Amino acid sequence: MSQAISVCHGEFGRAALYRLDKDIITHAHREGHLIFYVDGPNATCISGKENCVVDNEHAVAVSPWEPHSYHTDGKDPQICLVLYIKPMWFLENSSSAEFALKFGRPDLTLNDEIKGYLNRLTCLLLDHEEEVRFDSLLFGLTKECFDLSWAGADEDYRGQIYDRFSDFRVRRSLRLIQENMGEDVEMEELARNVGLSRPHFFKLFKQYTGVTPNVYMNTLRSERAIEELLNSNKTVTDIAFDLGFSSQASFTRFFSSNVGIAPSEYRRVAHVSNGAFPMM
Amino acid sequence: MTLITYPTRVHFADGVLEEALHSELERVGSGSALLVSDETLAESAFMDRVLSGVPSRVLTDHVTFVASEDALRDVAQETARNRQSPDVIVAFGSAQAVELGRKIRFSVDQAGAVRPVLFALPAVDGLPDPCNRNLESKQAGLPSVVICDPTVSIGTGQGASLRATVMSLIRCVEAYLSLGYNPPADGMALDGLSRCIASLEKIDKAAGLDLHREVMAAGLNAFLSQEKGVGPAQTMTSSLLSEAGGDQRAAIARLVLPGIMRARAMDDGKADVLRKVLSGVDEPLIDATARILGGVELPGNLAALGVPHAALDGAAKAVAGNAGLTYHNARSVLEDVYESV
Repeated sequence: MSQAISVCHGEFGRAALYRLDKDIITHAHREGHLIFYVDGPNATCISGKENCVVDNEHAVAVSPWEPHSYHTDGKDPQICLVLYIKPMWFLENSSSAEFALKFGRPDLTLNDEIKGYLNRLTCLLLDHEEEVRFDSLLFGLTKECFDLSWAGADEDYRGQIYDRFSDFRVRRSLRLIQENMGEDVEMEELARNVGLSRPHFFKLFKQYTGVTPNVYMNTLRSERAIEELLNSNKTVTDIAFDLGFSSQASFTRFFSSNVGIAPSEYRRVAHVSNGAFPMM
Repeated sequence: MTLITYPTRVHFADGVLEEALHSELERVGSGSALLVSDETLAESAFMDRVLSGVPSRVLTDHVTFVASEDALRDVAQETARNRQSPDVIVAFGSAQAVELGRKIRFSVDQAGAVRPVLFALPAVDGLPDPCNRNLESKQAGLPSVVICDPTVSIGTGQGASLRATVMSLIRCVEAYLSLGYNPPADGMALDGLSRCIASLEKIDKAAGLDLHREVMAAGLNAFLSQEKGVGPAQTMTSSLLSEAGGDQRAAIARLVLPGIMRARAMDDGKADVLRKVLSGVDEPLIDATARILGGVELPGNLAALGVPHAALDGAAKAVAGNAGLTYHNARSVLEDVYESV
């Protein structure tokens, strides 16, 4: 069973050490996402159309809202460090970063500097140490990876944005998803409500947002679930019902396959960092 | 001694609205947001985009008003009295909406509740004049966050872009000529001015995101340059507007600005810099200003804009003593453009 070794939330977003022996299905995050190998067998991550290795020489960088999945060998668990970096935190601490924290390419070949950051951050997370330098190490690692991802990459890609709101039907569906997050939203009905057939709706939604409606809705639900697990005293069952799941078991299955570990495990390990990284 | 304060965080990028709004609401830990907009935006794409940027845990309420009919101060006071105090006010769309957001914040504060944070999400004309005659005008009245996303202006008509650019040009000129010592504001005014000149040349020939971006950038620079205060042409315009009604701000201001420049005290060095930005050729500053503003297709005199003649007296009094203007030369500026052809 996949386990959380350490999960730290802060102004920066989230940093976690996971022991993963199960796949994570295609999902997306609002944050910039980095996956680093720490120990165990290699794993792979499919980001967009690219199949990337997560091993002791390679990491994976996933841009915000980029669909991706994680795959293990199904036998021994891989220990990995995963970061979910808020684009605005990165921007505020960087003099030249793009707001979107969009990476130039997903596969990163680790250099000595990145390995150094990785080792120090892993130690701090393993020791559950509250240190001022935690945030600055996180920033240093993210910045190195961001710059590395753009080395030799197509600069034209940097300016591309998804115009999620130029089609009124997609726009309306985004609003409906947000408003009905606590209910069991049927895609068929959602498509009908915006005046489209299911296949046309999926095609249009993917074209404008880069993700399917399911992935988009799952992202919002995961975000909400994580926030409730971290900040509320609600039971896991109550959180499940509030998010429109019919049982705790179905919520646990959803959370495990989207986040990587069970919700109760997440709540047990997660804590909020008090470190305040000074603005530069 | 000069104290220069810019307390506003600005996001400026195509398509940034939702993520920037989401991040900023998270950053301030908002639990309740009051959305403020013109009534015409209640079912608009802009509204959909704002709602998509609000984190799902944040409770929202929406206040609308009918532009040029509702008295903003009354709407603000009623809102503060009858609605749950929000921790953030998100005002989006027109300059009047942002102004209403500012007034609601002031009213909530006056009512003794915790002063909400104000976010402004401007459309093409979306940032108001800073007011310098009441408490709302103080620097604390500036929005804490401004999110400029030029894609919200897609579909804006040529007329609205034209009026917004004219108003930005006037604000930049007035800010730059203001005698206060504020180098950052002067820099923003000059940059805003050059963007206005370039945009005015393109508005009737081109449309598209590049133009919207420039119009919005000019508007933002004009707004921020007004840290130096409101100039006499703007003060005069506000006074006339209160009598004339409607949203003729740009049309009125462009008529009075050249006369005001002729009558006001001006630093020669600054006037020369301004002349070079406004006109590449060897043309006197006031002639260049009159030529640029005169080439804009808007009504040609105050009478045609519905300004009653009786309003001139109050407008002249409003600027007397400002920038070396007397009541008499201010009145003369107004008479010159009242029925001129």
